Amino acid sequence: VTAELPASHLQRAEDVTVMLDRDAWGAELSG
Amino acid sequence: VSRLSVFVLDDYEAMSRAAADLVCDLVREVPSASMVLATGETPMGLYRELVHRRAAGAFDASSLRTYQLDEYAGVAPSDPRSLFGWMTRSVLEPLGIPPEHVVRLPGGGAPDGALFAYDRELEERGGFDLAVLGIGENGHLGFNEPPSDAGSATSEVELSPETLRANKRYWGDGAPVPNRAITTGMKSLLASRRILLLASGSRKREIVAARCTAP
Repeated sequence: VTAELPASHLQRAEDVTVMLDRDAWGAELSG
Repeated sequence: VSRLSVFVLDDYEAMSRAAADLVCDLVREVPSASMVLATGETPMGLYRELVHRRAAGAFDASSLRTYQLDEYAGVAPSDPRSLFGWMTRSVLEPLGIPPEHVVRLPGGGAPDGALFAYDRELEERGGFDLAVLGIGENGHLGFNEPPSDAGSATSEVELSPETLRANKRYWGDGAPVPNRAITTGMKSLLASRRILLLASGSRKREIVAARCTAP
């Protein structure tokens, strides 16, 4: 049940900075 | 979330440097900041970068207050597989963080009162200024496993089969990964003034796309 994933609760946090490398992002980057 | 920023960096090293920039900026602003710091492979590049900057005189961690995010139950700090031991070797000692500024989690089997005291001490000090977190392939934060309660307190938990599988590589020699752990609760993590979530590698792609980059 995805709504119960701990990471889903990040929506409730005040200030979230996500840093990823390209492999974790997966999509082609533009610009 | 009031503010969500997503940065996609070229590679792991660039991500680690960007994360170090964020930490250094915060510590310049609040030298005595309270931080909860994850172990695991992902944040190690950030910690190495901070150690380099400290050596170069560009980062001072001596006033920081750090909190332990999670720990296997029943594993002594002297055990090389202890997360606290890992944190001590990779972060606390090389950054010169005084032991009296380090708040450890109670060990496995601790009475509820000790776990409650951890959350209370944190709350009395105003909570975390920064939580440095990784993310499990199953969406866990710290050892908060699914299904998760956003208001959960610091507690002893049972680890999921996915987490036991993912962490087996740290144990080696066929030794079983402890199936219980202590974790800082979701309530304290979500109350952080800022959360820095790091993810590296294609294994994290699915969970990142599903949970971390949409407002």
